[in-house]
Amino acid sequence: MSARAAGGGAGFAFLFRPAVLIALFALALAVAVWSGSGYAPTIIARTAILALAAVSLSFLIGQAGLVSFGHAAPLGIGAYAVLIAGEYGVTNALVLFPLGFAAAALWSAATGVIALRTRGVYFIMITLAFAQMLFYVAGSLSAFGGDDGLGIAARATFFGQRFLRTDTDLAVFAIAALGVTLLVLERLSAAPFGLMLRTGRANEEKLASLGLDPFVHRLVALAAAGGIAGIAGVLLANQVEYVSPATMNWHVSGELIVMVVLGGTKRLGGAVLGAVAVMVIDETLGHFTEFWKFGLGLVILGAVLLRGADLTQLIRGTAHG
Amino acid sequence: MAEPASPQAPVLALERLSKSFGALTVTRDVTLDVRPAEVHALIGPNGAGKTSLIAQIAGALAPDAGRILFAGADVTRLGMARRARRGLGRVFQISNVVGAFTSLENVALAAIVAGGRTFRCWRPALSDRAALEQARAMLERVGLADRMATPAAALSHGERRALELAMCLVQEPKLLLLDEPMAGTGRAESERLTALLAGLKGRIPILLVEHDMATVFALADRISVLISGAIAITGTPETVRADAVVRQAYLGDEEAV
Amino acid sequence: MTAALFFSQLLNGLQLGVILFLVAAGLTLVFGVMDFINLAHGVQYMLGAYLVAVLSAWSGSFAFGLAAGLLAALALGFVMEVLVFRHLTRRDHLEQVLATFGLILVVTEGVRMIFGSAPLPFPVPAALNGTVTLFEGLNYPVWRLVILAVGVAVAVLLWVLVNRTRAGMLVRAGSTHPQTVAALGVDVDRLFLFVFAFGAMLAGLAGAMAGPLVSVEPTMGDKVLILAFVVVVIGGIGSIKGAFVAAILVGLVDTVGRAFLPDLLRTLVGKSAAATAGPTLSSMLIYLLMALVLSFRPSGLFGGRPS
Repeated sequence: MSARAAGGGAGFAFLFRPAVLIALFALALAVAVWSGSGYAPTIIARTAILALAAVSLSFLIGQAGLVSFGHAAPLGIGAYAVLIAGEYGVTNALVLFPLGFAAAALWSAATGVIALRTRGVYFIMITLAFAQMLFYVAGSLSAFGGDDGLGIAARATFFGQRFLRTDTDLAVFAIAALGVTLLVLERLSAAPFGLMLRTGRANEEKLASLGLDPFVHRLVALAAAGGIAGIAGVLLANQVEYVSPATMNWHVSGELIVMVVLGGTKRLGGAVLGAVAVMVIDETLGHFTEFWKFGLGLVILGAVLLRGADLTQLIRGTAHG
Repeated sequence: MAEPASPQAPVLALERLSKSFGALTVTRDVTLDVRPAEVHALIGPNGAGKTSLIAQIAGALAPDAGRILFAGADVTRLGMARRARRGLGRVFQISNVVGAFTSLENVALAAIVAGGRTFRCWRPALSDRAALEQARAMLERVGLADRMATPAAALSHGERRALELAMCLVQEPKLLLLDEPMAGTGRAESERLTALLAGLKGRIPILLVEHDMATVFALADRISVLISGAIAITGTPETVRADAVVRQAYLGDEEAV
Repeated sequence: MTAALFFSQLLNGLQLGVILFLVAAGLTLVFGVMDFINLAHGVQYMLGAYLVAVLSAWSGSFAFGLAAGLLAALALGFVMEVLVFRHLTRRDHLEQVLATFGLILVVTEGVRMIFGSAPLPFPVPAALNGTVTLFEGLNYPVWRLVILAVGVAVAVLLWVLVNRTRAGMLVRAGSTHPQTVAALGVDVDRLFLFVFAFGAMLAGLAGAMAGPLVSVEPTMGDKVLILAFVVVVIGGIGSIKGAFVAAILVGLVDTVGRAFLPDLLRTLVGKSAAATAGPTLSSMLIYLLMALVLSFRPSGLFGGRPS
């Protein structure tokens, strides 16, 4: 119910608003295009895509309290949907996006039926295990490149029209998808549906004593979040033009959780900031050393151990000296 | 006001309920009923098995043997949420509200659940006029009119009990299951709560589990005494007060408790 | 399929099972005693392999390398607990996931900085190299038999520790009923320190045993960690007995499944379908087993505590 959640600190809360985030993305893209950089639009597209996946995970963790450690699986399913459909000659975006969404949502719901029978530590381990199963399955698909993966046939088309010629085109679509997702998920969170998820997270026994077993709500949340990650996967495959099991590696799930928590789970926009932060760490540290994940690990450890696993608090901390 | 015990069917009936944990029997062949419009108090010394019995009635714990009939149907196998949907309202021993939500939000939440509108996905929950109206009216009724915008976590203990009661009542339950509502409240608060419950007496049947004897004897139409998991006696307050076994087992050492 | 082949795969499955048991034993107790999710347990397995490999090569003696390596793994367990884990025990699961994931990145990349990504040579100790003839037609590597023996020995030792000593009783009670143990006046934090460090050493032992069979590289713990999770989930959190039964089950199902499922499919659905479905299905088997167990028992085979 706290739709206007008590999130970000005074002065920085505006950063979490979908409209502001999307405007900043659009501005960054405009600057990148104007400066003629070939690389920047690619980075912006990637960031928007990962932010999309992170936002869907933030909805699960922040609203429903479901700490899924397998969110790389629906992401990978979306990517493989592009690869597999492409092998059969299907590149129409009007097929690929619904297909990626549906396949990923179906996977999330099917594994969710079992995972939701459990709580806490079990839930984390089971989602991780199922995602890992899919990772190995993808690696065993010799027709689609096995462990090495395969390049996609072509970027998505619109009835034969190529509309994703450059990464700038792709970034536009990724940013639009991110904007729509933020709006829809914010509505969903403020609506009774989201209220039930939050109540179930805060006090499941009370919710039951009021007459609601939130199982179906949670299942729907899992499917929706999985579907959105599937959309992100479709975009990702189009951006990289290559699909491999590595997309489903559990480290990807871990990094998505890092984005969600670094940005704070109270507001969905936090995950976007978290995704940007991780990309910035990647791009800056990555230039200096191939061991940039060492630095990322230190940042994560420091953030949690110093109790600052929340970017908003870090910002506030520095803002107020 | 309250009809005298009538031939009407009881709202809640426990039939020969039993429950053990290993060698420890917490519920021993308990038969008990709550009649329409009745306040039925359940008392007993610490460790008599009141908490386990409440848990079985609410659906949090499955009995080993026996049946639970509620509103004319066998609910023994139903979970907590489904019993609640059939009209079993429960106020917990330890206040159970959503601390981060305001009083108004807590009660509106209960109203939305009762109204079956939990799958609405687009309009904000706080724009649910009907739920908010119900919630406001109920908060006024329990004396929390000036605390509507206060987060539940910031309420006093007694206020939280009243809030929980409001969450129950807004769902228009067929029975109220009150688990030690006076526990931990001060004298003034407990008198206020007792008055509140007295206002409900006769309108909603209540099963009241309570330590505070003043409240029990002020409200109860009938009293059952639970000792070592079994019902020792069920009767009017006068009968129970006069019973030698009860005096010895329970009332006698009241100060010691 | 020959009897010898079947029997050797059976032994391979048991051997994978005891390795998984060594990893899962510490993991399940840490989960149970503290309701703590530790993703970095695979790192202890990897460190054990590196420590023993390096110390053996340096000293020229496997026996010394193993003893010193295990002590070092134990010491590292204490250090990690003091530096990182004890600060996380009262936090929520999300923070534990995050911090232990960060720890994995730091340790894995740290090892890569020092030793590189290439596998570290870890030969089978000379005295234990070679094969024995178990029966006509089956020559089986001695080292794999040693792993089996060590695994069974540790299982017995753990059983005695947990069931016959006071400390063990506390751990067992603490892993299923932490509040009760705390109420008895036991220092649960100290208990956790020792359980954690001991678990780290067992994982290190598993890494050292598996080292000569697999490639010793910085990410070698990842695969084992997730298999160990499957074991803990199937066995039930906090249960040593569950971890043992589930580890053997997972080891057997995985190994025997991979070895024979493709053949079985070939006879059932024909050659071409089996060639595609065989590897896919056999890599799914243990996860399907987990799903099956959870459908019937959401808290695992021997999980006492409702999840």
